[in-house]
Amino acid sequence: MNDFKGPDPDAIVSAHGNGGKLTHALISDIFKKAFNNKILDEGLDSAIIDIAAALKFLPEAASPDFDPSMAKIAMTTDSYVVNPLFFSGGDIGKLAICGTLNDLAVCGARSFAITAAFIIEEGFKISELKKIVDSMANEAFINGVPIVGGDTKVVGRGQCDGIYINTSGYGVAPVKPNFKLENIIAGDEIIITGYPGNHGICILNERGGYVDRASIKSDCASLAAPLLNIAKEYPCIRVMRDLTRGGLATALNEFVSKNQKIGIMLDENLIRYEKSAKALADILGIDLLYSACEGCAVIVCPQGYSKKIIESLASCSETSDSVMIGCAGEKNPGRVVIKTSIGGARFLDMQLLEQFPRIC
Amino acid sequence: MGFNYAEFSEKINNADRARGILGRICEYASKIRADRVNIMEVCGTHTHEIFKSGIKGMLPEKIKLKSGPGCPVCVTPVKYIDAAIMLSKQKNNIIATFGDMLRVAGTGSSLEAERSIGADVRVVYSPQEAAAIAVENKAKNVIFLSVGFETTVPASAFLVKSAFEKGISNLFILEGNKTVPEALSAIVSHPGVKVDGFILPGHVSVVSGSNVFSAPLEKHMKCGVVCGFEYMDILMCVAMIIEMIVNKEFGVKNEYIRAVTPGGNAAAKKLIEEVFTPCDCEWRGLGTISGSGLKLREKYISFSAGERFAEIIGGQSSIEASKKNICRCAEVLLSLAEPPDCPSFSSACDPLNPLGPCMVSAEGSCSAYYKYGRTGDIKL
Repeated sequence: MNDFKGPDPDAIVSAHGNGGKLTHALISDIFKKAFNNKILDEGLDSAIIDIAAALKFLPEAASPDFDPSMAKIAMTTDSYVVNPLFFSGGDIGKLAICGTLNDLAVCGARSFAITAAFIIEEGFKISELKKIVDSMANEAFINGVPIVGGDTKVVGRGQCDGIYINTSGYGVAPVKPNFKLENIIAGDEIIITGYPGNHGICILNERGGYVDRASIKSDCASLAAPLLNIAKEYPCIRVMRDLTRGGLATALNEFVSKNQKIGIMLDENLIRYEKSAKALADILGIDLLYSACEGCAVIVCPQGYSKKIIESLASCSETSDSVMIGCAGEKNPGRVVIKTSIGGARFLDMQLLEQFPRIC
Repeated sequence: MGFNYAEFSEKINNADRARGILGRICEYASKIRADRVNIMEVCGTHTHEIFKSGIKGMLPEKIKLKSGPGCPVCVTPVKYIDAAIMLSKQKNNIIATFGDMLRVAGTGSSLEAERSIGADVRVVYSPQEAAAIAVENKAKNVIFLSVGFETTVPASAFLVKSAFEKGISNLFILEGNKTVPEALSAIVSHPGVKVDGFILPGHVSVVSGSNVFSAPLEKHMKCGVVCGFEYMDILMCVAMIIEMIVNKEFGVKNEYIRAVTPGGNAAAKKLIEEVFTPCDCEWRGLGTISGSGLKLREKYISFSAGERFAEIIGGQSSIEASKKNICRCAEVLLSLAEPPDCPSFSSACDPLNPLGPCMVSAEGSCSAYYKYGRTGDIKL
């Protein structure tokens, strides 16, 4: 009698990370196949990219006025940990690519390359890894950005939560964008490009199983196209920021803490929420203004510009729900205040602790 | 399709009608001769909604909203937290608890601190999850921290009853449930407490019914209104209270008629009655209130963590523990002091380093004051 069936062929084992045969098989079967580009195929220790080729990512490069010596390189890095790995509206792979692209786009930079490093727990399903990698490849392809390098490490069971992804993103901007928090002045208008807080409440719902999964989706999306479009069209924009952990309230508090001369006044009547997300958040006692977003940005523009910018954003499905939600002013300097729907007011402070579902 | 809360809430809340009710409140308030009318919101969820919607700043000057006992976590004595911490230190125990309890400081530790050094403490949203943990971990003792008012008592009772029927023998509850009417009696009869009317807790009343508040209020010639949790509910409730004061009416009225009946939820009350029996119980800030706690009946006593682990829990002094509490939580719970009156508020005590439970629990009044109204007035 021999019941031993051998190791699970669908499981990551420590040898997948030892640099030997299994590592190479994983790289060629999963990563190279999905990411599929010449730079990655060269298999060097670094990805080598022509500066001229990177500049070609800029639409401005076609203009005779374009001065390559004024162009700037933007770099960003971020780590992605999320539980569950697959959620309504996305997965950790899509999240990693969108997050990287959004970080570059809010600085006015067009991505031309991404690298991705994976830390994988022993026993993780190779089929799940493939799903995640395919999702990354798909999102990168849609956005026209190659994934040019990567790394894989395997850690023992229990030493990581399934899989962690770290990315770096590289972008180009035609000139140095003039985005600065110091630029914000009284009268400036504040735009949010979608419904606040949907990613955070989606993840809570995935973990708690409170309502139908499909009814509450993460907003996980790349905002690169619409944001780069308005950055080009409206150089007067003061600053853009993609909202991630901490949500809208946290980002606005970062603004006023850097620029203490101004205060921000939001109008509750202007803020729109996705209905089912708001309902679940209310029941759990979660404030969506502090809940994470993964496909939503806040834009500060001079007085009178929000209408035009919102019209421009409306042409893109990811930002078609953009609205002006308030403005900067001289009152309450260093603070974010929200005027409530019945005419009262409250401070929106920097969040101190994690929000927990409450007892009653 | 299930119940659509979002649309429901939209139907109830309406800014124009809210202004109408505010007008009515101002009109009635002008008929009151006293220069101050104190209204206590008993429940922390009301405190938060009052801040969140900005109601406090919109009421006539003389109407003061004061926060009361707030939430079950706020009134849980240090002794109970210490017992939970001791149980969590035992290698073979899993503690299942509502998230609010994690950071509450006991004597020198908290469940969160114990968890960081290896204790198995799990946050649950429903008591029923504790049963699932017990089934999955048959070799371990799973202890559910059963705190909460009438709102959550039926869920605890159901947990015990169903575990009894299924023969789950490794599940226990650390009894800490409390009932609100007895506490209201204690507050109304407290000589220092100056409250003219009460915003009564809606969730509790869904289970207990509005009638349970009649006797204490009538006895002390005070009025109270059972209130829902939307801003319109709170404004309506304040208007009704002011009207009762003007008309010199005592006893209880019900604003939350869409959820609360005079007699309450008979099935839930029967379940509570079957599993629990009233006992004297210590409330932080209020002391021991006769008949305000719930202990397991004899039939279910094998589920009592207090009985099963008496050796581990016993022998501590709550007086010793409360001495270490240098904040004014006790007075805040009775509305004898407002959170900013406490010397520790926002200096030695904030949500990151809470001294007392009013700051730990998101439903606590110190936490609400800290979050929404810490510094000065907002300029509009």
